[in-house]
Amino acid sequence: MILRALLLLLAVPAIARAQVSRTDSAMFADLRADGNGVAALRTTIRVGFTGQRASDALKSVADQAQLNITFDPQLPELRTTLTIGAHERSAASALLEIARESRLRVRVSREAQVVVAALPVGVQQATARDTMPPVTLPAVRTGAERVERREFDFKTGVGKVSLTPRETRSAPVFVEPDVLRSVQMLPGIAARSDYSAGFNVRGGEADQNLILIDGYPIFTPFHMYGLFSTFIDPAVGRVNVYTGALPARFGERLSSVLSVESANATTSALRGTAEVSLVSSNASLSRTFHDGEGSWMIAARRTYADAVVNLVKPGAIPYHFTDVQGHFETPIVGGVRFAATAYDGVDKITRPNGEDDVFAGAWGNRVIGATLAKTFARGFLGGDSLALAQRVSTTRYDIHADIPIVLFHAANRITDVRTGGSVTLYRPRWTHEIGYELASDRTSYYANGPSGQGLGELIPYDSLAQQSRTASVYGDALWRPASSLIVEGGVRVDALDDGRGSIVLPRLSLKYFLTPDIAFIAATGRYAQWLHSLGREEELVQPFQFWVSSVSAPSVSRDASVGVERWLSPSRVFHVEAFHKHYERLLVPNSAHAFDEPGDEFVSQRGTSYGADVLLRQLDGGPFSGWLAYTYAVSTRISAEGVRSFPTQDRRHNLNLVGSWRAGAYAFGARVHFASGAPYTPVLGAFGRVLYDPTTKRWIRDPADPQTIPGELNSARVPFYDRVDVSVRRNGHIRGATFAPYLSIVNLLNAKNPAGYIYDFAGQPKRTSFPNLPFAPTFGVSIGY
Amino acid sequence: MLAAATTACVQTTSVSPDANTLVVHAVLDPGAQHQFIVVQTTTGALVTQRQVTHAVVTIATPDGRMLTAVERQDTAAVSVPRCERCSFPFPKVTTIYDVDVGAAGLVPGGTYQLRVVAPDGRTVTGRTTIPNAVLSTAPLPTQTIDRDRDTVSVQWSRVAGARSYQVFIRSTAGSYSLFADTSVVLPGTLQVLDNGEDVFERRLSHQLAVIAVDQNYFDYYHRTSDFFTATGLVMHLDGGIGVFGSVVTIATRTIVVE
Repeated sequence: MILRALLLLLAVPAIARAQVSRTDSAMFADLRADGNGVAALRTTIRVGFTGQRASDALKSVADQAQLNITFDPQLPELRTTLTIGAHERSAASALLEIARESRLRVRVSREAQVVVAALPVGVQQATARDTMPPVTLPAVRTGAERVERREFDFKTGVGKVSLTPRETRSAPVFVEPDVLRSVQMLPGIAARSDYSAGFNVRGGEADQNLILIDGYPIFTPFHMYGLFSTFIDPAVGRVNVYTGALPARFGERLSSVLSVESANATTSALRGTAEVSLVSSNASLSRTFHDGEGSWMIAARRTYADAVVNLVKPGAIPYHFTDVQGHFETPIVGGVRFAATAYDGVDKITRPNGEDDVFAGAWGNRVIGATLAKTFARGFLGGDSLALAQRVSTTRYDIHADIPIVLFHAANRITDVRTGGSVTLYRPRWTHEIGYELASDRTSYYANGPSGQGLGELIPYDSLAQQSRTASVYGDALWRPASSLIVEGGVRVDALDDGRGSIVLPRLSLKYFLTPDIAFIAATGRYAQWLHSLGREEELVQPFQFWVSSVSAPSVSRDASVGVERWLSPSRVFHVEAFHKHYERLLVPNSAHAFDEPGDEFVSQRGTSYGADVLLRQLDGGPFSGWLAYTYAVSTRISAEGVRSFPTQDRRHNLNLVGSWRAGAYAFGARVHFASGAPYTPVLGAFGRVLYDPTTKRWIRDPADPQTIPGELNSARVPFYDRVDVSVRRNGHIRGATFAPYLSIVNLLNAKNPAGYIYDFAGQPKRTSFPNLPFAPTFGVSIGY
Repeated sequence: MLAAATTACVQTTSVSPDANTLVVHAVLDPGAQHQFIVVQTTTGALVTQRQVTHAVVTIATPDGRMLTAVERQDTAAVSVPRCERCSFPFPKVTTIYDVDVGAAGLVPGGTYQLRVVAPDGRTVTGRTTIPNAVLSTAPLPTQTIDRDRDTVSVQWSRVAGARSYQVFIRSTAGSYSLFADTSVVLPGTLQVLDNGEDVFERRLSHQLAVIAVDQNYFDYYHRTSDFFTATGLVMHLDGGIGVFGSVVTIATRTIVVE
C-alpha cells in the first residue's frame, strides 16, 4: 500500500506540488455504503453499464451525483469492462459496485474528495470497517487529459480560450448564467457597458465577432435590448473563443470567433433540468441512445412576468422573450454521423388592440443546421485517418417595430443560407484540411419616421435591399517537423459577387516548445468582412444590431501576435500574448448617411489596435477554479479626411479576477473587475433651432429638443471603473433530484460607474451620469433530475 | 427595483458651456421677395442664445451681384408659439436681417453664397444651390376630411437639384413636417411622436405645402442630435452652426378638418 502510494506520488509530482495545503493534509477513509456522511454520495442515481469500462462507469456516476472523483488513468483495473443492470441506488453504492467488479478501492475524505485507487496487495475488497489507519494520499488528478492541455500539446492554439459549462456558470451572474457575459471576463474582451451582452475584442467593433452555435452562424444573439444572450444555460456545452489568429476555416469577421457548442447528453437515462431566475425560467431534457452513440437534447426558456401579471391585469406587461434550442446526433448507415441543431428565439412587445400610438415589435433568430461526417480509419490515403464533413444551414435574423400613428416603422432582416464541407487528412506529422463554403445573404433594412423627433439616431433611417453571394475555399496544414515545433499555415480565398472582387487571406501560426510545459507562440493573419451593423458603436445601450451588406469592397484587417504559454501544473496555466491589429480598410456607419441614398451607409477608415493579454488560469476540476485576465490595449482610428480619434472601445486597461470555490455543498463565486475609462464625446453646449415655414415665409421655433454642440470626437473619458460581484450556490438534493438555489450580487460595493453622460443646458447647465449596473441582488434555483 | 437602484447611482454635476459660436438660420425661397435671416450667438447654455445686432449679412448671387441685408426690428419674423412639450424657453428674436431680392427674385438652379460678419469679427459663410423647380402658383383643391376616417394623399414630380421633399402642415394649433420622396399618405389620426398631439385638429383649417429642399436643408433638418453620441446634425456652414439652405414650394393645399 505504501509502495503504491509512493508510485502515485512519483508519477505526478507536479500535481502534488500544485495542490493547496488543505488537500495535502486531507485524511481519507474507505467508502461505506452510507456515503461516509457526504451528502453527494447519498444522492440517489440510476445508472447501468453494459460492456463499459470501469473508468467510464466512474465518470458516469460522478456526473450524475456531481462528484469530483480522482484516479490514475493508467490503472489497469480501470479497463475492466462492466455489466451492471440499471437500477436506483445511492452514488456510494454505485461506486462500491464498480469497485467490487473491477477490484478497485474507493476512499473518501472529510472534504468530500473521492479517490479511486487499486486494491492494496493481499486485500480482496475494501470493507466498510477497515481497521487500517487512513492513508494520506496526495490529491492526484490524473483523469482524462484536459482539452486545454491537448490543445497546448498538439495545436498552435494562438489566441484561443476554451470554457467548460461549469466555468461559464461559476462566476457571479446578473439575474442568470449567461454565456456572453462570462466571455466578457476573458482577456482581450470588453463590453461597452454593463447593459450590453455584446462585446469588443482587442479593440474591434462589436459587429466584428462571428458567433456560431454548433458551427452555424447566429446574428445578434441578445434578448431584452442586449441585457442577456439567447443561449439557454443548460443547453450550452463548451465555449471556444478565438480572439486572434483565426484559423483559415473561419472567415467573414475581422476580430473574433465565438463558438458555442450544444451540451451533449451523457447518460441513457432521461435527464432533465429546470431553472428559475428573476427574469425567466427554463427547462431541458436529454439522453443518449444506441449505446451512447446517439444523443438528443432540447431546451426551452421563457420570461414569466407577463404571463403572471397579465392574469390579473391584462396587458400590463406587453413584453416577453422565448428560446427553444435542440441538438440531435446519431450514426446512420456506413459509419456516417448525422448531427442537427435548431434554435428559435424571439423578443416580442405586443400592442393592445386599437392603440396605434404604442411601440410594438418583435425580433429574434432562427437557425437550422445539419452536418454529415464520416471518418475513414487508418491506412486511407497513407494517413492515419481521413475525416469528411458536409454541412448546410440557414439562419434568419429578423426585427420589426413600429408606431403606426406617427408613421414610424423599422424592419431589418438577414437570411443566411450556406453550405460547406471539409476534408481532413491526419498523418503522423501532418494534418491537412481543405474546405469550401458557399453563402448567400439576403438583407433588407427599412427605417423611417418623423424627422427631428429623436428616433433617427438610435434606429438610423435608411432603406436598403441587398443580396450578397460569396464563395470561399480554404486550405490549412498543421505540421510537426520536430517534437518541439508545430507550424500551421493556411490560406482562405473569399470571392464576393457584384464586382466586389476576391481577396486572399493567408494565416500562419507556430508554437515552439522550450520545455514540455513552456511554449513560445506566434501568429499572423489577414481577415475580411462584408456584413456590418448600422448601429453606432458610441451608443451606450445598443438594443439592436442592424445587419446589412457593404456594396463596396469589404473591410480588411491583419493581425500579428507573439506570446508565451506555460503550464504550471496539469490544471494551472499562464499565458501572455502581445498583439497588433491593423485595419487596412474599416467600414463604419456614416453619421451623415441619408435615407434614400444607397451606398452611403458606411465610410471607410483606417485604424490600429495593439497591446497585450495576460491570463493566469486555474482550470476546472478542483475545489477552486478561476482566472486572472488583464489586457492593455490602445486603439485608434483615422477617418478618410485624416482625422485621428480613439474609438469608443478604447479601454486601455481591463482587469478581471474571477474565482469559484466549492466547499462541500456550497459553491462560492466572485468577480472583481477594474477598467480604465472608455472614451466619449463631450458636449460643449446646446442650441435651439428655428424652422422655416413655407406657408408664411417666416420662421417658427422648432419644438424639438435642443440640439447639441459636440466637442472633439471621443476626446474625454469616463472615470475609472470598478465592480465586485459575489455569488453563492447550495447544491442539495430533494427526493433524488438536485436542488441548487443561488444568490448573486452584482456591484456589491455599489460603485458608481458612469457609462456616459446626458447633458442639460436649459437653466443651470449640468450633466447627469448614465450609470452602469448598481448594487443588484438576484436569485434563482436550478433543479436537475 | 433595478430602475430604482439605478436612479440612486445617478450623479449630477454642473458644467460650464464652452461653445461660444454664432448660430445662423438662412433659407432662400424664390417664392418670397424678402429673405429673412436669423443671426444669434450662444455660449452653449440655452439661456445665453440671443440675437446678434449690427452684423453684416450679404448674399452673393450667381450673376455676381452682392445683396446686403437690412437689419430691422420685426417681432413676427420668428414666432414662438406656446409649446407644452418644449423643454426649454426659446429666446425672443426681434431683430431680423432682411435681404430684398427685388423684382428679379431668386433664380431656381442658381448658386448663392452667404456671408455673416458679427460685430466682434466672427464670420460665418455658406453656399446653397436652389432646386431647379417651377414655383407652384395654383394650389391643389381644398380637401375636407373626417380625421377619424380619411387620409390626406399628396403626390408630386421630382425636381432637378432637389435633395428631398418636405411636407409642411400648419394651423393655428401648431405645425408638423416630414420628409418624403414623391408622395405621402397621411392618416387623419396622425400624431406627433413626442407628445401625442394630433396633427389634424378638428374644426381647423390647415395649410399644407410641399417644398423641394436642397442638400443643406435636408442634412440639417432631417435628423436630431443623438442623446449619447452628441452627433447627428450635419451642417454645411463654416465658422458657425445652423443652416444656409434653399427651398422651392411645388405644391400647396388647404385641408379642412370637420
